[in-house]
Amino acid sequence: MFIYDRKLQYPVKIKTPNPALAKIIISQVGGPDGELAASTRYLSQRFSMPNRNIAGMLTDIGVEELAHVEMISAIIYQLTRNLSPEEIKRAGFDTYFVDHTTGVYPQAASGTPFTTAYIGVKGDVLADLHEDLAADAAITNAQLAKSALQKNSKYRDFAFWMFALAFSSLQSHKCNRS
Amino acid sequence: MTDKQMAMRRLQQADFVLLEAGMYLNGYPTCMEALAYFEEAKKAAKAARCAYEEAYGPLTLSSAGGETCFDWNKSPLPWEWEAN
Repeated sequence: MFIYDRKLQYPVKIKTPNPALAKIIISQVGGPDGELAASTRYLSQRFSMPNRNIAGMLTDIGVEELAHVEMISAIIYQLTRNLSPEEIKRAGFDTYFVDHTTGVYPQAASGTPFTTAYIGVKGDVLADLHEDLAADAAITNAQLAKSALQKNSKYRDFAFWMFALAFSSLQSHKCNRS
Repeated sequence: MTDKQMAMRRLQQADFVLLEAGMYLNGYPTCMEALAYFEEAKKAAKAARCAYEEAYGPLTLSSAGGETCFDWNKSPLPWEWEAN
């Protein structure tokens, strides 16, 4: 059972829409290392966990990942508000727009639709926890790649958003709490 | 920042503290310090939620209602620009 809490885990308020950015950030929703994959992974693996502590922890984490899906989807939604046809074309957002308009479709930046082929559920505690570690390592690698990208001024905006919003928002929240 | 935004930020912070404390306790269920911290976090989160809901409307179905009109869908949805 799930109860909806009518709030985001962390506020999303984007002043200037930017469809080019949305096209990249969508990967954090439905890409191979995205939040939907993370959530689906934990919420599916938990049933066959032999240890109640681990099963409970996977439940808590899987639920929190759902809150991240919602946050990143809100980012996509707000980045693609009030677009003119010219803006859509100029940003290269036309290839997404032709299929989904400004709907938030869980896909990778490449356009590949979300698939559970990204995750593993083996019903075996060691196999599944190893898969969780591998997924976590992939996300850490992505963060490192994005911080390297950040050094290149051409990509600084992309990298900043991907890194700061998708991954570090919770960390900064921790630092800001009084 | 408006009063409403402040109230929401306070709740988001308090709920996050509660969530993280809970995650920690999953791993260390007999840590007395963490248990005490969790109790404090619970009180703070409850107070922040009550303050927000009393002023600006329901956040969960169980606090929704209304005399003549259901108030559950009156406020903007969380992903809307106006809601943040």
